[in-house]
Amino acid sequence: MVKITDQVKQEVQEIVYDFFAEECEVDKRELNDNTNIVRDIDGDSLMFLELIEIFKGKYNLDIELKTIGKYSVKHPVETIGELIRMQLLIIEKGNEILLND
Amino acid sequence: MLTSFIFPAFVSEYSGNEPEVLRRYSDDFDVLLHKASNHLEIDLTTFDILHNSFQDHELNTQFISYIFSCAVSDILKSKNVNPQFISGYSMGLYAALYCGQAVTFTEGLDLIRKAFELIKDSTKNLETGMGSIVGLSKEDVLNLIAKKDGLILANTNGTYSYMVSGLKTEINEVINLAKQEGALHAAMMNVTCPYHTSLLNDASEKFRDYVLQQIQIKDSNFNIVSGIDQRIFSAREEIIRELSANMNTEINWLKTMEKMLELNVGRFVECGAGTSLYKIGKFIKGDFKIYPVSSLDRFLGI
Repeated sequence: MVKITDQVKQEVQEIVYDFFAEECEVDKRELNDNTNIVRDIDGDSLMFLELIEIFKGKYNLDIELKTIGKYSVKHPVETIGELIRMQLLIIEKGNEILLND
Repeated sequence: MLTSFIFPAFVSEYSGNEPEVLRRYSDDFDVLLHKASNHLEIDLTTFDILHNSFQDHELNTQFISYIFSCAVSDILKSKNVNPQFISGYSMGLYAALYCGQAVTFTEGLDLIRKAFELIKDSTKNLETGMGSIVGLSKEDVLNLIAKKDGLILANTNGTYSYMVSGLKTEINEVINLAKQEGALHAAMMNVTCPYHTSLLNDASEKFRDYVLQQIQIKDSNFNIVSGIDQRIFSAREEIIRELSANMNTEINWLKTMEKMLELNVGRFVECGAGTSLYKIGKFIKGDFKIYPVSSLDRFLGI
C-alpha cells in the first residue's frame, strides 16, 4: 500500500492519459476525466488489464486481479476519471479495497 | 531477426482504417473482394468498414476476415518480406495456408464455407457459441466450467485471458459466475459456432473427407506453427491433419507464441484486420514486437 500524495495522483493521471492516448491513438488533448473509455475511445478489458499490470509493477502492488474485478462489479468504471480514482484506491488500499464497501 | 506472420481468427472489431492502409500499398484488397464475390456468387464488394461491415452475417464476416489477411500477406510478400514462420489463431489457419501457398485463394474460401456449413449442420439442434473471460486464472476458469458438461476451455490467450466454447446456456451461466468471481471481463463472443470442441467431432471428420476429395493441398512454402500442439510442419499430410483437428481440438495461443519466441522470432506481423493478436501479445513475456496492420508503414520502414 502506498500513501497517495499529490505527486502520486499526478503520476497516475499522466500514466492513464498517456496510455489511452497511445493505445487508442487519440490526441491526449482530446481526453478528459469524463471521456467514456469504451464509447468514446474504443477501449477494452485487455487495456484495463494492461494498466493494472503497469501500476502493479510501478508501485509494487500485491493485489489479486479478482479483488479488482469484484470491486469493479460494485463500482463500474466507465470514464477515465473513474478509472483514475479506482487506480488510486487500488494503490492506496491494495487487497483491502473491498473493505471500503 | 526472425519474422513470423500471425493470422487472426474471424474479426469482430475493426480498427477502422484497415482498407485505407492496405490501399496505400496495392489494390489487392479490392481485387480479392471481387474475386471472392465471383467465386462464391455473393456480393462482398459492398463491404464498407463503417457502414456495411457484415458484422451480423457470421459467414460473410469470416470471408472478409480471410480476404483482409490474404491481402496483408500478399502486400508483405510483394515487398520481399517473407516469414520464417506462419501461424493461424484458430480459423486464421486458412489465411496462413494461403500465405504459405498450401491452398489457393479460392480454395481457402471453399474451406471456410464448407467448414461453416458442416458446423451448422452438426449443431442445428443446439444453441452454441463461445465466451471470453479476462482476469481469472486458468484454475478459476476450469473450476467454473467443471460442472458444465457442454463447455470446454477452448483457448488460452494468456495467463489471465481465456475462451470457453460449447452450449450457449452454459456459457451464459459461466459468464455470470465469472463476473461474480471477479473477472474483469466476461462476455459472449459474436459467433454461434462452438469452435474447438468435441461437439464438432462429426463435422471435423466430414471436413477431412472434403479436404481430401476436393482441395489440392500442397506443401507450405513456410513453416507453420500449430496452434494446437505447437509442432512445426509444412508437409501436405500434416496440413490436412491440422485443418481437421483445428475444428474440434482446443488451441493454446499462449504456447504457440512462446514456441515462436523460443525459435527466436523477434517480429510478428498481424496479418489481418483489427488488433486482437497485438493486444493479446502484450501479456506474453519476451523481447519482441507485434505489428498490426495500422503499423504496416513502420514495419516496412516507410
